[in-house]
Amino acid sequence: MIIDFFYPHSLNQVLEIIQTNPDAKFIAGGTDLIPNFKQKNVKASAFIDVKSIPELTKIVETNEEVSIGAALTLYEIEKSEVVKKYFEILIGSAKSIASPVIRKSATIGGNVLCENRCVFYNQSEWWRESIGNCLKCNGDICIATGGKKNCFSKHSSDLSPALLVCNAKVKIVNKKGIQLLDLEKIYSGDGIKPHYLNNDDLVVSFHLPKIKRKFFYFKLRQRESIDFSSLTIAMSYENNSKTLRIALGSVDPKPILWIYSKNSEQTFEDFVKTNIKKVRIVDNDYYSREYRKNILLKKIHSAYSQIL
Amino acid sequence: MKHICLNINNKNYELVVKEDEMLSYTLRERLLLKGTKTGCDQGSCGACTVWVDNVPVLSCITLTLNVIGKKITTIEGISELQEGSKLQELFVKHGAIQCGFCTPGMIMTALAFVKENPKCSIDQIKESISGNLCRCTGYKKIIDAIAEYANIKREKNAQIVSLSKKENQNLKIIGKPEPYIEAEKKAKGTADYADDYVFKNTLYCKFLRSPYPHALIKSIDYSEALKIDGVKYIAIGNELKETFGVLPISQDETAMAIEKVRYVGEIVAAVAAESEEIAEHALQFIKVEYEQLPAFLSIEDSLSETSTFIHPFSEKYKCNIHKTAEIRIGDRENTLKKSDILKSMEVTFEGINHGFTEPHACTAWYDENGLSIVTATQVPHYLHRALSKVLHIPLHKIRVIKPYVGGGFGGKSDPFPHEIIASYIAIKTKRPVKVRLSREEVFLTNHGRHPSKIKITIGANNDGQIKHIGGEMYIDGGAYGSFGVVTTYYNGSLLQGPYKTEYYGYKSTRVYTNKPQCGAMRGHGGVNPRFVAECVIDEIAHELKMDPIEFRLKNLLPPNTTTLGEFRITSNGLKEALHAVMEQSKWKERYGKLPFGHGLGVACSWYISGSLLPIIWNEYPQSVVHLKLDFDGRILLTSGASDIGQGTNTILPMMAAEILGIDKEHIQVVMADTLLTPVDLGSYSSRVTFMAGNATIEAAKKMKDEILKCIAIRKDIPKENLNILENRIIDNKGNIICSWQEAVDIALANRGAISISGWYISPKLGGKYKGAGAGLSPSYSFGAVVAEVKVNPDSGEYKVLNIWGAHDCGKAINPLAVEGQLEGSWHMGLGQAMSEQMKYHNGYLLTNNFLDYKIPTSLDTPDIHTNIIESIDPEGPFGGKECGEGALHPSIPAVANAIFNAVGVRINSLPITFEKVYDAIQKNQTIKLQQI
Repeated sequence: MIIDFFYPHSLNQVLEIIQTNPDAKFIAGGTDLIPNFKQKNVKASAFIDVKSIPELTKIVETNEEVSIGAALTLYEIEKSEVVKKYFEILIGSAKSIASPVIRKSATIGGNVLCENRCVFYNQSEWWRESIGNCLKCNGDICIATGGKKNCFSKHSSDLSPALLVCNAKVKIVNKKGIQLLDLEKIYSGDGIKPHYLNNDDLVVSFHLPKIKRKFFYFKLRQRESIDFSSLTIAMSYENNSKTLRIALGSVDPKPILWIYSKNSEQTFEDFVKTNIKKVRIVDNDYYSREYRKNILLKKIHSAYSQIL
Repeated sequence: MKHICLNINNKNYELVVKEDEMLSYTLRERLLLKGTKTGCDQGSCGACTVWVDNVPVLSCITLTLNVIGKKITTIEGISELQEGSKLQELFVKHGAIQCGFCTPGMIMTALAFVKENPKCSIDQIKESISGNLCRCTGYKKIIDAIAEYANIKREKNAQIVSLSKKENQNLKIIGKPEPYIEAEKKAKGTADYADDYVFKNTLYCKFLRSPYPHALIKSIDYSEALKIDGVKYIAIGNELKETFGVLPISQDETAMAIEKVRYVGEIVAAVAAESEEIAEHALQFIKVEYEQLPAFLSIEDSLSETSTFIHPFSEKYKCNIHKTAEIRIGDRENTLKKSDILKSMEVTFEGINHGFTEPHACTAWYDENGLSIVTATQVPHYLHRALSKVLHIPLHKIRVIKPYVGGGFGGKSDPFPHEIIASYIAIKTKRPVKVRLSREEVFLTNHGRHPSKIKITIGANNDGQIKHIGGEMYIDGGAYGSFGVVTTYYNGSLLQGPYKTEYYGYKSTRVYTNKPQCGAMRGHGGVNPRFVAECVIDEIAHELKMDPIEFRLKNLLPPNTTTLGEFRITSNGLKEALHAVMEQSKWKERYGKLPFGHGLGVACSWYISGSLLPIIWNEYPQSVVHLKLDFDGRILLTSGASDIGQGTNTILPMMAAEILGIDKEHIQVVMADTLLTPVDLGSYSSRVTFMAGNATIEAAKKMKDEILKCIAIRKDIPKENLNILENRIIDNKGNIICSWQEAVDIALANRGAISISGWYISPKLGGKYKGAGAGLSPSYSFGAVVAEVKVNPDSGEYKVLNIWGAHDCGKAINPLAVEGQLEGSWHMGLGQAMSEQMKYHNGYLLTNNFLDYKIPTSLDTPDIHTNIIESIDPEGPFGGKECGEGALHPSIPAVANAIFNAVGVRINSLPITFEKVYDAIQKNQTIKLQQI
């Protein structure tokens, strides 16, 4: 595949380039994109480097909100005083991703948009062809579930559950204009095409309202560095409205968002029991689905008592 | 292609690159800056770390086009920075460099981190390097080096316990810590590993691999591939029909599959082309027709009666068994009856991969001297023989050269298909042929630790004396034999120690399966059964309400004894090893007194210092060392001994210098080149220090004798009154007779350079029964480990907090190297205990990369407290024994026993994942509830 590489300096330039190169891909750190590209899971006619676009590399605080540029690195998020002040869950979450060196290149936008994962998908081209391409590789069935017709690849971003419990909105720019959406709206729940974004949609920034919350964050993985998550839990509690937000990662093709009000008549236990049925955990991970589900329940319940 | 400029190490380069090229490729292949290494190609090992605008970045996942206009710094540039060379010096000084392959990346990461965080803590240093994998050091000395660089004072956490009251060897060089002679090169990135060599006019070779676990090859049509511009040769299986294998009795492999494939990933065809890209591209044009056969993917599958055999030699078993071994010594029934307490445990083990950071690579060429190959190998001698056999070239026209090797651990100790194929195509095309395996291919090459099912029964009386040790084990050998026959025996034979027993017996079975073959891996077949035995002993001690350390002390075999199977034990420091770890861990104050969730565990083991019997039966010694002295006063030490990062090239000159009375600077080495160096069998079974060391001592003694003989005649002084000390010849009154140079001139007068040979042949030992030689060794090492863990009972998550290890290696020839080997061994054991496993799905290897195959990072590695026990072996060189493999064995069961102590659960399969601990605790609680 012949590739071109572009280094735009403004949003307008970006939009022009993607018009003339509709199969190009936006790239910042590339720490997720390039391994997938090398394994031929991602194809691109060109790369458009978005690290030099001013709107993507600023943290701006206003009275109501903090906006975080999508091309800020995880390391910059970790070190940001503003983020620490209002959204310390983002710091814990960023610090739990990959390894320190990778975090100097990986970006918040790249992580939020990171491709879904599955042990049968994240393999070399030769491997996938040998076993028979799965649904996510234009094949016929999901191998992880032994033949189902849906793709159950895991949403693998740790920052998106953290952002979701901060009520984040995402600003997306394309040739038609600017959109500001609730973050959860960009996730389709389809393992094959996990994001509703088109190829020419550029994620510019995340906007978080300055609301005082208490946080809880947990990530399950076997090693304390490098590994992707087997289960991510982010929780936030806002005392005035008595609203508990729970977001789950690596247990479904999209991040799961639950909103529970402490004023609700339904008990928290019932709430969790009902909602967990819709979470599509399968055996495509280092740990079994039973274990991840059990730990999920245990951690949520113990965090609930802590956080309230 | 794009024409670009890059600024690297303050120099501007103008070059042409492909748009989708990674920075690591550009640096290594286009600019020949080989210091940056590639270990995994997916950003999961850190070996490729460079700086872009002074920020560390993984170059194997960075597009070159993405760094135009930026300032790039590689390890070559670091050496020119003052801070850089200071950190490199500290790495060298602290022994933070063994194989050296991870070193450039590690230094790049560490230097950037400390520059940015000058007031960092040890914990922060540990975290900063957590994306850089090291398989040799256990990270301990790396952290020591970085800590000193950051001006943090760190107490030395290693000690030597000497058992000999009168250690009067009066040694000047031996026993002093020495950085490796090549450590500085490795720190600077100028040491050449197999993939770093550049030859003119090279062809690149890529492999087409089987997509099925078991299938007949009906046809191969590569005519379309041959038409591709730049393709020079395509080879298929039937061109190399001769079988080979490291063991003469188990030569069941061919270089490429012939008639059928036996595992997913087996090589079916090889393409040699002008570039890697062309070769890779051509693979898809080779059409292979397969007819699938039933696949045997587990021990159970292969034990089932069948008429489909992976190898025809299994027919006599009516199922896919490769080998069985059975040894029983003592009275089995009686000892069972005599045992007041009998405990059994059956454990399932997943396969383990060596995980060295350097992927296999080689370049072969053919000229007037015959075939030559430079390759990442531990065994130049066995490869030499295999190449001759398969390629029908006389032995005297083959040269195998071992370069610096980035780790072996048994994964580079066989002759390999890729080496044979590269050599073959080099002969056919008359051009150098290069192969380098991707990390996925390294996993498919495997030769790792066998997945196993092992049941061990131990009986003891109420006083805690072991009466009976019995075992039944099944090991999953994969598609070919490799070292497997030996592994089959080692799975049982090491059960006859390190404890006394009245009966020891086992039946061990190796099966073939349709998966990448297993072979030798650090600690060999002794590791898995040792795990089970140490857990069972723990169970017995628990039931008898005896302290597990006291129980073991009660049962230890003493020094200078013979085991039931007639293994001769000479020096034995296990008692002292146990005491060392017991004291350091504050065992007596804490064991049994820690709160629920917090535990201590202990385990012991022993291991061979080289197999007494060689693999190939002939009259040659097992190790030969030559010393040549010439007019320049320099001694050249040559030996086939293969340094793969364990420090052989450093200690052999130390030994020679010690005997000769001269300093090390007068001795240089040329090693592991089958044209230039005398045979040493290779680096496996922990034989090199013992055998090549003894050969070195013999050669040095002879050389000294020859020199003194000449001085005696010339100076008319009796030879007995002469000695060499500190580069001078002295008499028995201490008078200086002459300088070293003068002595050389005298000794070489009228004949020129002197060449002396020293060799090692094992003494005749052992029993006469079948299998008596497996596990037989001229001496044994002994070790003990105490592990401390904390478990979260609600989730099964656990952390190993401390490892206290003690290892009797006889004498620490080079304490810096010994500590490093021990710390690396304990760390490797932890990986098998906690997180490593080779997992398959219907014969397809899922864990074929460093993200999914989980080697412990620096954050997963606890504090390691090192104890070297010196029992001064009577036959070891300067008393030395092995320290390369034996230490691995006890670290795994120590962790399992600590988990049992913490939360009362026994996990009967490895690795001990959080999930297994959680499930066991749940089950336990359910049982407890039911009992209420």
